[in-house]
Amino acid sequence: MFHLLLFVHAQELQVAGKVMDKSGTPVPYVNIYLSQSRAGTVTNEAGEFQLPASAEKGDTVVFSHIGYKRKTVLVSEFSGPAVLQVFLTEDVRSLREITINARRKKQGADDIVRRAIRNLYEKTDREARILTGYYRHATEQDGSYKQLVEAAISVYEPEFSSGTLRINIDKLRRSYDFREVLDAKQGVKLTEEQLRERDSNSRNLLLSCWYRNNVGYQLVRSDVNEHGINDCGAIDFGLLNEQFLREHKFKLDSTSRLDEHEVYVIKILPNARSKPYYTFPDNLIIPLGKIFIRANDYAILRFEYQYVLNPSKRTTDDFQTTYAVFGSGIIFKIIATFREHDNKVYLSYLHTQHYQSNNLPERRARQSSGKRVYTLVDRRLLINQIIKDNTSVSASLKSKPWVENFLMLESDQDEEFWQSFNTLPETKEQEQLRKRMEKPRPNDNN
Amino acid sequence: MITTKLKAPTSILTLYRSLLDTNSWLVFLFLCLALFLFSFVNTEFIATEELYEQHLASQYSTSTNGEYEALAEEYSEDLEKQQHEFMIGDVLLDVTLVVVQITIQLFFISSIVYVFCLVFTTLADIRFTRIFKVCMLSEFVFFIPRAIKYSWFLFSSDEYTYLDVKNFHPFSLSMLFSPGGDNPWLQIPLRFVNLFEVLYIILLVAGVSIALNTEWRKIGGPVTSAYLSLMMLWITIRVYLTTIL
Repeated sequence: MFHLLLFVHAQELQVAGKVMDKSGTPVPYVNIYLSQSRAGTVTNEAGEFQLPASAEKGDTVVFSHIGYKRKTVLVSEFSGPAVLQVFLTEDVRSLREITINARRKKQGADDIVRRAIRNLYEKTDREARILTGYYRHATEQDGSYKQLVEAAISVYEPEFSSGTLRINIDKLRRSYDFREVLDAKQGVKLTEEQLRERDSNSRNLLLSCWYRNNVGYQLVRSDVNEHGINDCGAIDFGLLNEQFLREHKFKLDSTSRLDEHEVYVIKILPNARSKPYYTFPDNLIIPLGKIFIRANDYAILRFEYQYVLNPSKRTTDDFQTTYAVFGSGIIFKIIATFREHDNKVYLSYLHTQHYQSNNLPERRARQSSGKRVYTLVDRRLLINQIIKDNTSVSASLKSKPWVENFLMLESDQDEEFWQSFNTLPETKEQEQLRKRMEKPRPNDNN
Repeated sequence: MITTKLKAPTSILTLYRSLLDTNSWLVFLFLCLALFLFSFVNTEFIATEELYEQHLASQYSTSTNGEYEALAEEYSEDLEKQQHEFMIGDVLLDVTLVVVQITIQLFFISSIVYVFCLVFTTLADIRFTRIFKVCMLSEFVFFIPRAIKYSWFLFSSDEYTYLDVKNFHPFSLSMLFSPGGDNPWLQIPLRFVNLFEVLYIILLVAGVSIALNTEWRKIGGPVTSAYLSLMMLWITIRVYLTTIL
């Protein structure tokens, strides 16, 4: 009897582990979710993941990634002390399928992408909704973090063509080292007005600008004016719209599989109409990418897009100089994954990297010494929940303060909240960088 | 007193005369084609892009990171195919550049020789077109050092670097003396002191004397002075650009 009573209560477990392929190589960006609660996440670059500590022992963890067979693991298997390693098997196609694919290749990559973008427009939810998720923002230079923010956020996406996008920082987990941005006002929070007085670089800190400039479908672009510039000052990159089709060349690279469905893997290449990257010389920095499209319904599963130094220009001084200035050949990167719910498409994960010029007082000194003057800004958003119910959306709209400026908020190390909240695990390297940053500086007031 | 008149072998003079009578456009076309072919052989087989990249890699301390290299490797074939699509355009551009470069070069040399002949001789019938043609024909002498250089590297079994190719100037003083060190610019004037420049001047003098129907003694001074003046100016510009860049 005593033993029976023990098993009455559902047992909750922390689900965490590492995903690898058969050769032991970590697999990043694997979609992971609990089959009952549908709570989900993606693996980081090291293949590591963790789900909130609310997973029930009877639940199943589902691992899904393009090119690999779906795998399910019982939550109970995560109960041991060691980190569970999950191995995915490549999904090898049969000869018959290869023959079918060869015929399909004649369809043309351009046509496939065009259909996929139209499908995205058609399936984009045009009703107002709120997305909640985990946001991480890190600024790195010369191998150390300059800024680090981690927060639970809510994004209000208005009804199509009406209303304004809003972002609220629900809970700020970490907000490190904006002392340099605050300048002489070390440790003092800035008001909105004071923030606006600062140089335009501070607008890059605004979540709504980042969200607007990078979310790959037309809905949140309703604020773009006729010059293709929104009020965040960014120039329309032409992501996933008709302009994108005109300015790139597409090549059907291969087909893969995801959960028994065939997936087109299409490479994105520059063409003669591709825009130069800001004021850099033509063809020095070129767009390259991949788009993963489900064959049966042209749903875009994943979008990877980069601006990189043109490898064929290695022999030029421009290439070498630009590489030395940025410290990398990849100048801009965006990765977005999408998921479907009730026949509508939503953003699931967004990751961008770009370089911004160092606007700090040290800039001139660095320039004269020949050191790099660009910092790497890495921003990630993992969507956990989509609230579509009108009542809930209206209630949240009224109750939340809709403050997106983390400079105005205090960190909240609410352990219980963060234990149950779905976040992206840090890689070992990220952890080291953060710990280095957490060491107090000699002149700290705190 | 016995005087000996120096006479060039009759066959060479005859050959030169017949070449001077050849259609000018034909000579120009042949010159441009030959220069383009030499350039093609150089960039495709000798001073290749890979060689230049290796040279740069040894100079620049920054090496590209793994993520970028993996991406470049993945897309290299696609980007190369795109480049080949533009190849016809590139060939036309290369040909145009060769034509423009040689035309400008010949124009400058012809002009200065023409002016010096006008000023320092009393010859009546000095035609620019004839002098231009002589310059064109004399230019063929520089195919010999090119042929020697390319043969050397094409058939050499030893590995060579980009700098080995760049600094190879057969029968020039730069092959005997290598200032290097803090004054690499000294290499430039030494390159111009070579056997083939001497041959060029001889051909220029001989050609102009035939073209203007005069003795080479009368025309030798002005023509040589003209060419050497231009050469000095060109060396000065090259040295200046080398030191400031």
